[in-house]
Amino acid sequence: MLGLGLSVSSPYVGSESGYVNRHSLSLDSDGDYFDANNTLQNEIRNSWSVSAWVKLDDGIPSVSQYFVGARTSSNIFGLAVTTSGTISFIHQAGSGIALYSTDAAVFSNGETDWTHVGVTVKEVSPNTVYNIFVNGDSVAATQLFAVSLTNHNLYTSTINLAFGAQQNGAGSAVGNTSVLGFMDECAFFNAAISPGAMSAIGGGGTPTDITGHDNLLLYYKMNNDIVDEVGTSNGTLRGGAAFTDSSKP
Amino acid sequence: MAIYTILTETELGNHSDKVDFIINRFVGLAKNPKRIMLKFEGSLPASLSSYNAYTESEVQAMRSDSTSDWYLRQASNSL
Repeated sequence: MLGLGLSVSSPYVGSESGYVNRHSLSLDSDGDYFDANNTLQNEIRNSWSVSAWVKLDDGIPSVSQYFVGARTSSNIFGLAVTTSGTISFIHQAGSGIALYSTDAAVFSNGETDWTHVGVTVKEVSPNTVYNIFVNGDSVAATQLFAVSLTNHNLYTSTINLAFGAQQNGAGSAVGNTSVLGFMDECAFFNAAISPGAMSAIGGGGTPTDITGHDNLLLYYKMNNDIVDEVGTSNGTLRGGAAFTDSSKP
Repeated sequence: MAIYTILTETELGNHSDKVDFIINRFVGLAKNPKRIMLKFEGSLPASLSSYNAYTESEVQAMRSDSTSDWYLRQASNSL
């Protein structure tokens, strides 16, 4: 897939050259994550997408680890690596719940390479449509149950979106949901971005600077600061989360 | 000791603990028919006692058997 990022048609034209990625987010124990300090409730009620680079200590963890997530008692979203190395997305809103999981393992046992992961969530009738991406490619997946358009619009939460865990309180995450490893270039879009756009972002092998991308609402470069490049909501390091220059994609 | 069971979408949909199982017990999905594998510690809850239980080694055997619905191949998404 190397080089695809430059050949896929997309309204966004990235600054491919000259981007120096200096640091990544290091998450080395449960409770470590990056708090986006924004519930994004209205955005979650519409179509949206998430993009991030990850490097896991173990691609087949003993418990699911969440790349992104937020949870209340009955309103949930989360993208996670499962105990079988697959990637699953869970979505609960109103009285609806859906589980969307890749058919094949994305990761294998042990430390993984840097990998781009993404999910798009499209608010449509009759039911929400999901798509999981790995290194810019859409991955075959199976869906269990569904969230109707009506339920999709009932998502209600005072819990902030977290990168690297499933947050369920002010500054706290659900136990054993933290990613163990590294994350970088975490982004949230207020639209279900196109497969071509996701390929341009994640298909090139290394990150590009996506500042200015269409529908970009949050963009944390993790370059040794918590700044949201879009200016929507600066983040907060939770637990022992830290920035490091020891590993970066 | 982990113990596993498998429910069809219909069976899970009729279960009062459906949401809890999906959120906290999910291991994997299989197609045709659509089924979910759930993982518990120790033993299956009483409400699932009528379903087959599988040990860790049995599940690992399913995952490594290419003829099994639960066979886990690697996705071809490498760079």
